Amino acid sequence: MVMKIRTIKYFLGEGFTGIWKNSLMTLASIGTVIAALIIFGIFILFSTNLNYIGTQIQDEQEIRAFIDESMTAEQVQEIGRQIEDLAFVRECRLETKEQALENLREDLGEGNERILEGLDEDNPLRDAYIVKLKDIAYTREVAGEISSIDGIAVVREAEEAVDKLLNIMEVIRMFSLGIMILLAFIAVFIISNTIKLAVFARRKEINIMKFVGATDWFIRWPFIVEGMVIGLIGAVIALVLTGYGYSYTTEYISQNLGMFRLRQFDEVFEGVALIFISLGTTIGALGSAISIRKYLRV
Amino acid sequence: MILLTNVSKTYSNGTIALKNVNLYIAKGEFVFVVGPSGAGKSTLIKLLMREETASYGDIIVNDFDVGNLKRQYIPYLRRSIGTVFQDFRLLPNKTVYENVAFAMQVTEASAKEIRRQVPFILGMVGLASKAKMCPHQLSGGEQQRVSLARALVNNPAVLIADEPTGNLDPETAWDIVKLIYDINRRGTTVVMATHAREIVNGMKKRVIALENGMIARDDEKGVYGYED
Repeated sequence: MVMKIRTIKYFLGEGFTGIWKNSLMTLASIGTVIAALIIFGIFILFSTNLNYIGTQIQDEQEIRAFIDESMTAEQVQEIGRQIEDLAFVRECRLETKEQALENLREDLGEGNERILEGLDEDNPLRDAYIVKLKDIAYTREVAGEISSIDGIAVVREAEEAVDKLLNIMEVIRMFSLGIMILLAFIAVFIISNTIKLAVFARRKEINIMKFVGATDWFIRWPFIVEGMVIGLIGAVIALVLTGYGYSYTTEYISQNLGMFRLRQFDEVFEGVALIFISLGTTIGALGSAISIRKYLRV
Repeated sequence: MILLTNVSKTYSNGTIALKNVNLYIAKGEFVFVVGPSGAGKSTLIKLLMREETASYGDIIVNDFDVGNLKRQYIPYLRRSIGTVFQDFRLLPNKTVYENVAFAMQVTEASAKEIRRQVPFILGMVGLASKAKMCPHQLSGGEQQRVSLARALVNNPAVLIADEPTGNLDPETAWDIVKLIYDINRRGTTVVMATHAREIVNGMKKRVIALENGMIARDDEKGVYGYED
């Protein structure tokens, strides 16, 4: 559709005037957008952090494969290659017994150096491969395969509790995805109803436009502009509120239950802003389009 | 030019509004449509505007095949028809000037054309001095002049007036009819549905009388002919 510049100006002008004239209705619509987007945002941030914590757990989880002392350096390397060839192995790093001793010393901390005295000359520890997986759900299987490799003395794997925690997180994630979809529908419904009131208040105007020969799109655009601006304003306010709320909440959580790192708001800002603004304007435009349809049939 | 051939209209609730109407109105004619309430006057106007579609028959208005008009061309039919209603239908929060300019904006006329045409039309209907007022500051007759100005601003070939004097006192009504007659003499075809006996009898123009959805009379220089 080719549109003249002055017509676009007219649409924008009418769209903005409409917002000003129906200010009470507009406030109600903006409020709905804000509420819907904030609830939406909470779920987005919640599941983002669940994912983040999930990757942290995944990251920390490792299998230690201790190598028999009788193995030569070449054999140790061969074992490493075999482990790397296994399915689901993301990373396989050799920790020599000297490094292991060093780590142990650090873990024990100052004042306890005596316990490890003399071990440098006769190190009782073993070389080990530290294996990280692409998906820790397969820990047991991979651990089993590693232990069947020749030259592996002992395999120590992740605890089962972590596995269960991850399962719970998966359930929560699916649940919040469902709620997110439901909320999107509710938001479109509420906004289309609110804009329906605005359209109803201006049905006389629409009727006049019809009989002086306005095309459907000419009538529709100002309302769509209005809906999109309402959505945009709502999105910006929701973004600011969500930002502050989120920053305070994460600060509180990391001070009081700082088990895991949480995402900082500036890390997720771009994504959330993009979702809020595109969702807000889409919901507004969609709501307008739905609610004006009926009045165009004259 | 308006041509109806064998036009019938039955509403979905079963009401028969028009039965086999044949009618030709030439370019530049002035025609009254009279008849009791419910005789089919409003339906006739709605069919011409394509607010309703005929159940049967063909309608041609200004070279538009109204019955077979695609939805996206309806606005262009309506731009070729000026319409005036009993209840004026002005936008209350726009000024007189804006109300008239509105009809031009809809056709995507340029700002320059609007600035030239709107004052000219307002002058023609005698409202040049009230351009900045809002409808509620005007008398009924003045409001009807505004709606006339709006109907004429796009130079339509046909003016349809649906009881334009219904809400006006007799003296003001005559002023409006004289104005419509002026417009007619400039070449615009006028179709005026009315209950105003004095006006119909006084004008001595073609009168089409509808009764029970059929044309009961069609007289050159006719009279109103009803007692109400």
